[in-house]
Amino acid sequence: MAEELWRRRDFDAHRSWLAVDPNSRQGREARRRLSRADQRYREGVRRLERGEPGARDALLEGVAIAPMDPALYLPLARACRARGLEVRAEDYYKKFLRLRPDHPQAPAARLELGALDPELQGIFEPEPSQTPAPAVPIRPPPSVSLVPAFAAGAIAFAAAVALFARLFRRGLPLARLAAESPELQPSIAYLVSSVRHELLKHRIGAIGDAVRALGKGEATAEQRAFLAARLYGGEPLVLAWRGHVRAFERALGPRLDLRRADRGFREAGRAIGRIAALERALAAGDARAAERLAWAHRKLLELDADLAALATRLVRTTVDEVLLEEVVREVRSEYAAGRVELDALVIGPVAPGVSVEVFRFDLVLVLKNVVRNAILAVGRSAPPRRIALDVGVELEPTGEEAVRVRVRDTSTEALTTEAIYERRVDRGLGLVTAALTRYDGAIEVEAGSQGWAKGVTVRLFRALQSSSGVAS
Amino acid sequence: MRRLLVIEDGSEYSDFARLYLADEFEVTTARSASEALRMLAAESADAFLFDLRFDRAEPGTLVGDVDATARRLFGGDRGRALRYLQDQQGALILAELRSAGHAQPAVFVHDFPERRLANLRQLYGSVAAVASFDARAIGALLSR
Amino acid sequence: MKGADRSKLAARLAHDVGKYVARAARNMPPRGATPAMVAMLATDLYSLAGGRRASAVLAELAGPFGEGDERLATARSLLEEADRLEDRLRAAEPAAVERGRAIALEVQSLVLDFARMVASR
Repeated sequence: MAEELWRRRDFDAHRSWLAVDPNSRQGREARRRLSRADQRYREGVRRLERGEPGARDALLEGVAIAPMDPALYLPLARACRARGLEVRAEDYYKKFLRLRPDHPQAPAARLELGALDPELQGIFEPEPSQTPAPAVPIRPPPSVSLVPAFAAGAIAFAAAVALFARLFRRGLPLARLAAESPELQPSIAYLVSSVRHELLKHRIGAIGDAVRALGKGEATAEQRAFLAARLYGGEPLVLAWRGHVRAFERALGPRLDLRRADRGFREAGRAIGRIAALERALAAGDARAAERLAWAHRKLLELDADLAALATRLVRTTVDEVLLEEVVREVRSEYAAGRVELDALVIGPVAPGVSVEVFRFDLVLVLKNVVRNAILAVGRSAPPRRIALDVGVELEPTGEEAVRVRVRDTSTEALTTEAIYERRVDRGLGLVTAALTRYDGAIEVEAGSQGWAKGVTVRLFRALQSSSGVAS
Repeated sequence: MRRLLVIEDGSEYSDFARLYLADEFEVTTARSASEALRMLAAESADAFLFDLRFDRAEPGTLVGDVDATARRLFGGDRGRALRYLQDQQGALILAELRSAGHAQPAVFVHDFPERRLANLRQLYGSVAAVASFDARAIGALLSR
Repeated sequence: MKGADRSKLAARLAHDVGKYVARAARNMPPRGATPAMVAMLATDLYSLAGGRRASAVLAELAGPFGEGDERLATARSLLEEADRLEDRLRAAEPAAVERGRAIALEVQSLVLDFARMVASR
């Protein structure tokens, strides 16, 4: 049966293979083949991610041996997306989400799928009452009559402990989740912007004058009417707030705990509740209600200020030594790039205080590809094997500034700008062009000088914001 | 009366200047760098009022090399490079005028970031900007 | 629509509508505008760059953002109101001129506010 599912290319065949009794000869054989196939699949995915040749062959070798672990559908989807194979990426995202709806990466996968095709947004959200598809084979329960009483008690106790642990386990506040999961940063920025502009600004920030006037007992009838309309007109504030909180939770997954772990959201939730409860007292002109409103208003403005600072941190990336060191460290931790023995890898000079409006996750991805390519290229060339990274700023005749991140190397391998853009470079560099286009950036190969064979320069406009906040 | 040279691709700036700045300035209009240079060669001006975006101008009249811009800043994408040159044309025309020795005060109606305005001053001397068509503020800057 | 496209489109909205719609309104007195000032106000509202109504330019540039944003919805509705005032405004009827002026200033504020919001995302 398991073999038959696989032959029919059923994408859930992996589960059937695992379900075969591991103590049987077939079960042992199934596991051995799964393990062999897994190595080939992972190799294929790795090659696809890096744009290295042989990805297809490795994947086909895996296919010939045994079905793929559904967990690999996600890296496969991401690699396809990065290479512009969006249709295939979409397919793999869907498979991943169908088979692993509770995987820690599932929320990110949903967002990425939604970004590929907005019409698919929400389709793969797990329903609250829905039982997720089991990731391990389901075995028929033993007959109840055969379960000794003490075992039933132990199971009940374990379930209670698990429930207790789940109830009291705290997730992460928003800022920490953003710091720990760079891949979620674009989504976090979007959600933060939504709650700020749709709720905090238009319903809370806008009533500042009226709240102050009310506190002093000087509010005009017009100000009272305006305040009542913003706070109690239209969608109830409590529901609007819950809607935003749920949007965060749905999009960012169970690691986020806005209600308990995030102080700003927790206090803002209390403030919203307090405002909702004040409607009658405010209408009656109760002075204490005005004081309470002022407290709640202040709490919500504090959250707004914190979110504004978070959003700025997320969308802007400082191009400094820390970033370059992170890029180098990550690339050197990879198998192939880590094995190249370098005579020198120099970071600097780095122009101080330079930032670009690119999500850090994307910028690291771009620079990792450039650095990896340089390291692998010098590894294939004769010594000396040297790499240097530096950051400069070029003043444009328009008064704008271009940030130039340059990676120089001593490899004698030919590389041209055209080859990168035409994706004739099968080394991952072609992948960066799509990312750079999103940010009005460019990549260029420059002739080497002073002992360097060549330099690959990534150019992005420096982040400069107008006084009104509208990018010029 | 002092002379104001308006440099724009339409007539919004000059109509505005003729209505609200007519007490202080005699207004003339140039629609490209080359036309501005021709007019300045014939008769000088006391100040410049610049539009920044020239999206109605013929591409052939724009200052800037589309291919070089495409290669350096936009990965060879000529379409994006052309849009960039259109969007930033006022600043590029100012560069041309300064190169030709015309150092008069220049004013843009644009919400420039502070740092960018400082850069423009570093490159081109007397440059100021206001975020909207505020006649009083523009008049004061042109008269500095 | 991708973030970068949204940002560019919003910047264009700020420029094409936000910057020009209040060119006259920002400078004319609340009452006693000259015929030339009224004519410029009419140009700003009914004949922006390319000879198009501000309402049409707004509809085109704001369209891709959908119907959800309160500011854009208000700006749309205000410019529709301005369109209905056209004959009276062009005839320099004081109440229509005053309302047209107020609409232009309010639309500028709404559009720039929206563009700021998009830029901050």
